[in-house]
Amino acid sequence: MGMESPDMTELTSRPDPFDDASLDDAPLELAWSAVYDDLKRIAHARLRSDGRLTLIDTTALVNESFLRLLAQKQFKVETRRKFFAYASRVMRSVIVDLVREQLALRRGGDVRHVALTTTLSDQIVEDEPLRVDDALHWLGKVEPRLADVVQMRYFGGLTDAEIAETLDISERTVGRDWEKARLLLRDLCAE
Amino acid sequence: MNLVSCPPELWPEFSRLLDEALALPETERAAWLARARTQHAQLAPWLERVLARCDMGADYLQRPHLAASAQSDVQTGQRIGPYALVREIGSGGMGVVWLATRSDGQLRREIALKLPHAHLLAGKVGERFARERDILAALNHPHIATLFDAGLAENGRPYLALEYVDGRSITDWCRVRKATLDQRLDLMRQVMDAVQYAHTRLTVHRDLKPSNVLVTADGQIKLLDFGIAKLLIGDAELESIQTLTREGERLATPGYAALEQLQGGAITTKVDIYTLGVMLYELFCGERPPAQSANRSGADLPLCSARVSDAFAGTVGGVDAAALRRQLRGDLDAILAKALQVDPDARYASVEAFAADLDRHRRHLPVGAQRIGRLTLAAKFVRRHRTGVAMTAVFLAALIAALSAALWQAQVARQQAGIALEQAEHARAVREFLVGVFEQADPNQNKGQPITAHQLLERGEKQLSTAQAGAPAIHADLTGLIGNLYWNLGDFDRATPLLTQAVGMISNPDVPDEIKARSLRWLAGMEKEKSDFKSAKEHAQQSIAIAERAGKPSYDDASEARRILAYADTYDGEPKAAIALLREGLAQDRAAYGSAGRAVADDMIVFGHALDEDGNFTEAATTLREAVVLARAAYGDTHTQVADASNALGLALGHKYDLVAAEAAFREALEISTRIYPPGHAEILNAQSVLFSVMEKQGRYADALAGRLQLLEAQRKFSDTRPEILAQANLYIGFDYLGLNRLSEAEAAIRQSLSFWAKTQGSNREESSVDPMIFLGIVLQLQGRLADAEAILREAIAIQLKHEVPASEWLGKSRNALGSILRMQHRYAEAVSLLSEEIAALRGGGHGPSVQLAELEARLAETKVDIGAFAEARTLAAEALAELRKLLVSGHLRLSLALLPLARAELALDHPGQALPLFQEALDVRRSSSSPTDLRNLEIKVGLINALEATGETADARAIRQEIEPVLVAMPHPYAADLRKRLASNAPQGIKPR
Repeated sequence: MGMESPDMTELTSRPDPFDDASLDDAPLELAWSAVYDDLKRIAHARLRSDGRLTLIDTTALVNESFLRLLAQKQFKVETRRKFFAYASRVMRSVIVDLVREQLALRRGGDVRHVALTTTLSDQIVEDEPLRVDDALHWLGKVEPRLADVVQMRYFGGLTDAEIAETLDISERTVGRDWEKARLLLRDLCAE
Repeated sequence: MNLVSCPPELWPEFSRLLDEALALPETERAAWLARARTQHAQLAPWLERVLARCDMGADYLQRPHLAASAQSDVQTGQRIGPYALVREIGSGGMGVVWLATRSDGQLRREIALKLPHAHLLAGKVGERFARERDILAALNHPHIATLFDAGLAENGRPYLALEYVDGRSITDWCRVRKATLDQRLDLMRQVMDAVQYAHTRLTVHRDLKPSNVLVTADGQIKLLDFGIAKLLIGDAELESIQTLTREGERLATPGYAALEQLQGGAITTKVDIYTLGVMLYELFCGERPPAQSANRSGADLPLCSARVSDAFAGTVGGVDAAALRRQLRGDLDAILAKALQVDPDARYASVEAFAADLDRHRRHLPVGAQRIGRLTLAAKFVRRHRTGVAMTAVFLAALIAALSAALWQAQVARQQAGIALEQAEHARAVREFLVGVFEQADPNQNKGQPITAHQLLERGEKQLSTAQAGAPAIHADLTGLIGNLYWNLGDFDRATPLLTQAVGMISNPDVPDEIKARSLRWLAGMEKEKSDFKSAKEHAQQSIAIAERAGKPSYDDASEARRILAYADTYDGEPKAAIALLREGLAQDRAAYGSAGRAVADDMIVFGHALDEDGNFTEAATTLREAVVLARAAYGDTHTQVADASNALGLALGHKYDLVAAEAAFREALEISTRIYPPGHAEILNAQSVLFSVMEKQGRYADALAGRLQLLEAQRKFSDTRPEILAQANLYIGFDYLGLNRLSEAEAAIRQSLSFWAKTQGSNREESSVDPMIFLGIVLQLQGRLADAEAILREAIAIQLKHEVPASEWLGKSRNALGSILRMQHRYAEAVSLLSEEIAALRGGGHGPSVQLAELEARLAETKVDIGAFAEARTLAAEALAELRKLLVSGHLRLSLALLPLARAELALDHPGQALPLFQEALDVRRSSSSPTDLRNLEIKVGLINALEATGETADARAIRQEIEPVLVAMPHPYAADLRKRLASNAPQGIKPR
């Protein structure tokens, strides 16, 4: 019933004679914009429940989007590596946009910015993706790999093994990066 | 957000120290910090602050927490309808399953209560939930978990009350119990019974996997979760099925799902057959087969027997690995290979057939997985008599029996299905069968390697020629069959004599008409492919005549021969005859096969070719789009005919200059071909070649050239058998070199092309030589050999006039090139009259706007500039440019043909401000040729300099002047002298006082 993580190596191992063409940034951007709306729509459908947000199952969304892309042949991914990095980026945008929309609705359309100080504990939680997103912009400048790890793990819902493969580093390194990044983000996002 | 943890300039050091601290156990960090305060006084406060965050908790940032989860909205003890919840026993994306008891005073029993997530109910999940209820209600089988009840709870939430199965997944059960191979087979037979039962109720489970297949304590199978099952129902409900299928495709479990399911292909019972194969494979060797990819045939599947490890074998009745491997090798490997085919059609036709094979294996009878029973009998016969048998008469008898039976089977299937069986598929079926026979027959003979189809055919051929076997009819048919199989394997050398021989045998009165018609049709088909259209037409006509005499049994041959004839007509310069023949053929085939059959799809493809060749590109594209759809429906997505249709569509679109759509169609065709054919097959090479052509049309010569040179290596093997392939290849290479201004290489390649045409046609002055001749003329012109260029173009035009109507775009192309040569020789009057006449002829011939016509106008405009008729030139060139902009993609290289004369005319008419951007654009669209000695670029640059000087941008002008003047001086080309003059004479004009 639930989504098991698909074995993506197998799914993408089919040699694709046109990979070279799809590696250009332009088609990738194009595919990105094509899939973004789609994912956002799915995410919306999953999130709305009695006007409230529920837990996003990011892993399922990413896997699902992969299968959709595969089925639609809209987007030819060279490797799972490329896809994971890409999907995490998409998910980050989707989640951040959703939270912004939700907060905007609640505040009657005033989306000034997200670094809001509030005493409501649930709102702190709901702000979290936005705070992390903000912090990642900064972290990416000084420690790009840490930012990548957070993007893939937190937003993309990827496992350490998948992240290790994507970034071509060991799983141990991913674990260390993650702990360090969490620490830094905790500091950056703290009230 | 807080300010940064430390100033960015100190970050590297800060980060390094943080790593150091984090590597320490927490107990040692305080001491470390104390040291840091003295050694790194500046950074210590930040380090301290960050390290103090270590108490953040393990779940910090584990997921984006957006709000409280909605999952725990039911709890133990809660009542849903008549049921009381006991504990959660499972959950997933769609919902949760609770163990519950019925508690309204009736018989107390435990049930599994399935509840969808409330927030999902609004969408497809609600629909799916309702469907599962309906499907389960219709299924009543001892091995399928029973649906007791379905209803709505007080809050309006739906639920399903299902039989509660206290069991383990089939894989766990087998592992824990160390089930023997026989026990495992028994369990899977139960599963297959249940699935087969569901199939007879038109239900495909689609999500079979061990966690949905439970075994109870007493060893009974229970199938769960028909949540994404699909009903196979009629067209009326097709639409809703498609929606649900898309849902199902996302929800399938990739490790167990067939490729077509993951890719959104047609969902049939074959999906479950594949998954049953995966589960068997896993139960037999402990691992799942690698997931399907489209380029993998069943033959590449790692044999289950080869993957058995000692550790796993220990859990299968405690046998050792060697023993288990022995049990799996042979039948079971073959059965799995058949169930796990990528192509759904190649799998077992039904679960019943699959199960029957397993049963036959257990009773040590020959199994169908090694193909059709009767044929395997022959193979088993050979195996039982292995000693010294392989190359004897007994072996031959087995081969003959096998081939005849295969043919017979194919014919029966064809008649039953009432459709034309496509040759390649027929051949593949036979080929696969034969490989099976031979592997069975003697695996040791070939050093343990499976015998290739090729080796097999060689043996068959040898046996056929040495032993005068069988009746003349079978002999003729087998000779033709083997020839045709060679043809399908791409071995043209061997195919030709055999097919010719087969046709030679048909004069024998004992050979029935059916076989005659078929042999002739095969030969004609090969001749068609080899572009020997005259012979193809002759043999196709004979085949049609005989097939019509033979009547119904030969209707397929008549239909196919008609297409061969039409195709040959099309490319033998008689597309109109082909169009007439196909209109007739389409009517007959629709009457014989219905409007959506394979023959009709095939007819449409050839029809598209004919329309395209007749110059009716728009109707050709429309027809071929329909043909692609028909072919997909008739053959499935991965099929030669779909590739052919896409390819032809690409051609028609290319002719329309819809290059983006054309490229997409060609890539589609290539992708399909790559999946179908072995690497290096002529069809793949051809598909690559056409794709490069689109790049060339887009001016991407360097890319195309690199690809083509690589392709040429693969094509060399055809230099004797199909020289026309090399003739075309070399022409394209010459064309690319020309585009890149590498003129001597271009000339060499084009001359190569001409010599290959000579090889096909005995002379290099036939119709097909015209294109290379035109390009050779252009190359010679650019090299400055104007007299030679003129001579060859005049010769080309003379050949064209023998074959073409006087007003054609093709002639326009060569006359345009000739006009260009004439004006370079300053024979302006001749050029003007030649070009004007051609333009008038094309316009008068009822041709609409075309690239060719616009280019002729551009060339005429250019000549008019030369003779000083600037205003007239400007009007003409502007028209031509507008037309080209409409017909070509923006930035297309050929725009420069009109841009240049327009710019020159504007400049001459004292509009340097208008001329300048035109020159710049002309240079820009020609950027693919970066050669500094490209005459065409030099000419534009001369104009550009003049325009820059006239607009006062003298510095820019000087820079370009310094770049090109030495080149022009060094160039022996007569036109370079003209350009030098233009550069000198226009310079003072630019500073004319106003």
